[in-house]
Amino acid sequence: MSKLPDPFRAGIERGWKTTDGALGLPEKINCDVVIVGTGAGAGITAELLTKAGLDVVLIEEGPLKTSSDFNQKESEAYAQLYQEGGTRATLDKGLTLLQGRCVGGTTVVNWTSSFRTPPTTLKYWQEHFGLKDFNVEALAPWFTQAEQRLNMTAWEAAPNANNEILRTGATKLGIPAHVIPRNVKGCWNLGSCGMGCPTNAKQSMLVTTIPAALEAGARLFHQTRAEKFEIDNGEVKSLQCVGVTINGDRVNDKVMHITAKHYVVSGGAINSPALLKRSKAPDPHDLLGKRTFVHPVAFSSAVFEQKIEGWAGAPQSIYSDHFLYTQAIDGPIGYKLEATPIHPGLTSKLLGGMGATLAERFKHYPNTQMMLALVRDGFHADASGGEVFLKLDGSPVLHYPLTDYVLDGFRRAFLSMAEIQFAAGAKSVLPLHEQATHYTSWAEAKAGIEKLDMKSQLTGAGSAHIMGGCRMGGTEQQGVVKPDGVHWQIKNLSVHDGSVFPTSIGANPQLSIYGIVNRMATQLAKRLSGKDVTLV
Amino acid sequence: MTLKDTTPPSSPKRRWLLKSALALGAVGAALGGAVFWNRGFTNGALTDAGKEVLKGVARAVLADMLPTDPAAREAKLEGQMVRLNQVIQTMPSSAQGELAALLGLLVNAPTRLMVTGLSSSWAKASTEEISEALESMRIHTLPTTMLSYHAVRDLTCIAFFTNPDNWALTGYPGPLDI
Repeated sequence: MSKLPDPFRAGIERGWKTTDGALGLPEKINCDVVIVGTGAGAGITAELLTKAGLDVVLIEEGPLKTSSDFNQKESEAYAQLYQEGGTRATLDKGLTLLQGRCVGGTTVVNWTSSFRTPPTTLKYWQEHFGLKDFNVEALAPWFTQAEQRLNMTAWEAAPNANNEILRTGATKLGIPAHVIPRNVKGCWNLGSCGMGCPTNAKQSMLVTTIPAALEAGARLFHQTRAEKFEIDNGEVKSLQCVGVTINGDRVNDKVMHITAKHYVVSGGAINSPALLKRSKAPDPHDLLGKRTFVHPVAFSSAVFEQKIEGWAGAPQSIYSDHFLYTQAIDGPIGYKLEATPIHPGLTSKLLGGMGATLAERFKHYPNTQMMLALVRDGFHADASGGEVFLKLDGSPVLHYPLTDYVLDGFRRAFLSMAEIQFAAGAKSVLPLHEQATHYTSWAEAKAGIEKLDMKSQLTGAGSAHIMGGCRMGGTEQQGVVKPDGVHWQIKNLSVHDGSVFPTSIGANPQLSIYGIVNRMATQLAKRLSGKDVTLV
Repeated sequence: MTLKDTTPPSSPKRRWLLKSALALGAVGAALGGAVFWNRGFTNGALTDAGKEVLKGVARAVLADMLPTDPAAREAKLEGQMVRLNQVIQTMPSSAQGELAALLGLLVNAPTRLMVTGLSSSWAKASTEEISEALESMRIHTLPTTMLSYHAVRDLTCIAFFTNPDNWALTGYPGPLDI
């Protein structure tokens, strides 16, 4: 447990209004705006709406855990801070999904990489989804504000060895690699970002916008699940919520009814479309839950002579976008290269193997470097991503077949990563694939990777970036919500999160959410209050 | 370019889901409820049947990382069962149900033989026999068999390697005390 000051707990002691739904909920409450979720989209929205003087209620299914709870242990972090106790996966389990579920959402557990939406992605949205105002110039001021508010700057300290190898190998091959901007302030370089920042250096929603909203009088209900909206005649009448245990079970039959002037859904991709599906929200063009995208991620580990200790230091500080631009955006799928922090639990999944093989792989663990490729999905006729379905109990599941188109990208990514790792001096390289072995030269790796059967289950895959399912569109045939986030068929409901993206981003998505929601929420604040507010 | 954003209701994906649901139903019926005869996890804890499977899996997956002394090895395996209970208890009820059914499938003799090829029980099988069974599941042609391997292999590894008691085996020094 961190012994450093905990501003969130201090705020509660000063009188912030927080309620643990597992301990009981009021029957009815009323407010100006209720926001479902407390992650990237919710935080930005809550700060702006409270700045406009609106009475805001925040609903979070996960627990309230703050810096003094964060002990940097995977055993507790996955259970408490992640969706489904860290076990969320696609329907056929072909993709493991890491997504936050706690006050602050995924911003509490992400690895702090902060990129604006790439211009090529915005251009595609303009051309294919009628999003005329989504161009570099129009969005620039909104991104600038978010960057200032969350202290996003290029990482100035030396990259850890896990990241430096990406730069070293890429540079030797003439591949550009750059420093990643991070949303941190006074970072201790611990490397524990994925388990909640114990020093409050990470400028997540937990330490920035949510405290600002609570300070301004917002009410926060945690361990409280938004079950469904009551919708009538194109208007939300109320939101029904229930208290839940840490694993998501309902604590009792009691239901809290919230009435508001406006309702904002910011539960993140998968959960936001699921809430609208449970609510039987109008969906005349059969778009809801569809075109849900992840960046399917391929992994490649390499053993080096020297110690790497990839668990220590800023998890991600170097990237290369080279392979996003070696072909047209709607050609063979492109990918972004970054490093993967390796704590023992996650590493045991990403190394694969069993018995003597697993033991041998762990023998080299301190000398192991792990690279990843974020595959940019959604820009091709064969790349429609996944679809969110509801299970019998109403909880969501994402069906996301790993298509040949995506898996072709995985093979090319395995090759790129292996070549870079060998160029940086790797003794051996192991792609995350059940048929792969430790290749001891680039020539051997190239021949071996070409022979791999690229099939789901054989090919290890995961993602921490989930997007789409409530996509924006310039017409109601093209989107669930309008370009300003307001639902096309429900006038007092908006969606403010990564589920509004019509494709994957092609970069770690947190800044895309902050910037785009910043514009949506500023417009909403003006409409509801008549006041002009800004993030900074 | 034609984007797949106007997929009609009778899309291949929906047909796939329907077919999968029907196939799963058929398999369930064919098993005659065997899966549910011995569930692996009930009332918030692993059953004896569940422990039998996961101890067997741990013996094979963690093989060379377990103590060689029989008493110490057994104590480590018992510790793994405690840790597994902690991990499973934090899963949503629906995921616990899926795991309970999978463990049931793996422990009941007819389905165990069908999925793993193990002719004797997990408790009686040698570590070598279990290793052989898991190895064939790992690279099986049926995705569902591979999935069963990944489910028990990953659960075993996550429970074991997130346990601070086992970090010394890996070279991970643990987090900085702040």
